[in-house]
Amino acid sequence: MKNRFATISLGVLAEMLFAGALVGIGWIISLLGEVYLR
Amino acid sequence: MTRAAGKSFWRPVGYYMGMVIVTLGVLQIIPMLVSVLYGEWDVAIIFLLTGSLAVLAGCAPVALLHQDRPARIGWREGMVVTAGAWFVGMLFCALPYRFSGNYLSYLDACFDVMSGLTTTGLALVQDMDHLANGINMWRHMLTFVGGQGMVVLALTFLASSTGSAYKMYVGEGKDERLAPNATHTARYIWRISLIYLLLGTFVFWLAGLRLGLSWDRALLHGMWIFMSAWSTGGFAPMSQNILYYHSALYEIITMIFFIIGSFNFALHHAVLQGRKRELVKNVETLSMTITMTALTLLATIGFMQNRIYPDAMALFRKVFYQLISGHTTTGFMSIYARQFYADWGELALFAITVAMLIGGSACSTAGGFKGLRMAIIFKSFLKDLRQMSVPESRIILTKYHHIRDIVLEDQTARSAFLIVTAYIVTYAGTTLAGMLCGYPFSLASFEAASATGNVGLSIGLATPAMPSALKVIYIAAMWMARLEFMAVLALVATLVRKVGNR
Repeated sequence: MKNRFATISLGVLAEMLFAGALVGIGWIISLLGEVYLR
Repeated sequence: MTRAAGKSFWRPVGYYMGMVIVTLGVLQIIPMLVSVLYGEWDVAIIFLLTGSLAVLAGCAPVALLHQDRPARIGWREGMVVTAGAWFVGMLFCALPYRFSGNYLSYLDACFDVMSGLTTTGLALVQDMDHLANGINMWRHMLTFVGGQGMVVLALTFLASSTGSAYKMYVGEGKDERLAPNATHTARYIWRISLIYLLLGTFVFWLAGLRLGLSWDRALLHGMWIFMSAWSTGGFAPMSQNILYYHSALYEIITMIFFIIGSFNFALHHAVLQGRKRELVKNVETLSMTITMTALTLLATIGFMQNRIYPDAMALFRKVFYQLISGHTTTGFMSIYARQFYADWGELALFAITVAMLIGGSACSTAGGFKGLRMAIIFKSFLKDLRQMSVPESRIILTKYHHIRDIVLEDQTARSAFLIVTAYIVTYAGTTLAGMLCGYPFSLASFEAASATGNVGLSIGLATPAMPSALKVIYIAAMWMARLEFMAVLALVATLVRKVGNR
């Protein structure tokens, strides 16, 4: 039971990190846009 | 040889549709309780009456046809049940909206219900900022239930025949088996969604408290925004949508949850069972990463040309946010609708329209062509190119990774092409309908992509003032696209054949 909870928690964390990485790509492209605009 | 739809066909259809209507009636207890809690007695009485009506109307066919129902139903029956239940369900779910006085007509109420159930997010409600909490609860619940699949919900609790359940499950646009049978798969989908509902509501509640909302308002807004984000729905309790919160933190949290919400349930299943590498190996997440990056670059180049937004933060919150919201088919907005028309320019509008049409993952809450089909079509194209460059006697095998390595077969590629073609034809037809109603191409095209992709971003065309014919066409587009065409086409073909036989 304890192991199952840990596996699910780590899975949720992994999905959040992956989604965060996609958001990070958006932030990097926005930064590149700002560099160009300057 | 095709079989005419006789009594033996309609009896199981009526029985299972009755089950879904009962479920939709029982669900109205939740907004009724919210209304009671906030002393909204008139709204509570509306939910009591409309919920009771749905339960009675659903129980009648279930009780009458219980003895006659077959142990298993065919594919056509399953598809017709699903499409029919979504349509009749819309008629019943719109009753509380209409009686609340927040809609100018029953058609507007039906539009909002179909928009919610299909997780689109276009809204025709009046005075959204002063809606009763019970009505807001119902709006967001419809999105949440529609996202996981309302037939799936009914099956989870009521169906006993798992063979019949699978056909209705497929009819609802989901075709992945996470468990040996459809009922267990449906339960698993709900378990994943409820785990995230608890987590998401808690995170949004904390963010709401930080923004200065009272504890109960932060909780309700948190739960509603999560339901919308997870279901890639796009509804929000305030008319300014996500812009109302004026918070980068709130926007980032919504992005995280709606990106996760757009993932395939089979991917959730694999990752939550410990196969975390699937996130970076799966063809759908790879496809989404590539298309999202390319389209964000394109939209950003568009804004470099018109220089509307001066810095990275503005580009991130105003351009990337709408783009990823459109790509995941969520429809949350952190700008006003008219800004698309006034500020975005042709290049950025093109990028976001393509993003809306591509959409999220298959077997998820998202709409659009789906990343899996984009990847299959791309791989199929590469396979044909490679086949042309080798001797005819040599057969080229192409594989893609989706939960496991799969050999790309012609039948799979053909199915993907057919569904994408159906989306494009529906999008073109809906755009044409908008132009025939007198709207310019850019407005008609954007709103058509939003309705067909079940997105919900609006350029300002979808208002109560738009022609009734266009509202009906948008309802049909949202309904067909959400069920990925086959179920609605089966229903229409059956009804046409029945009329023809008379």
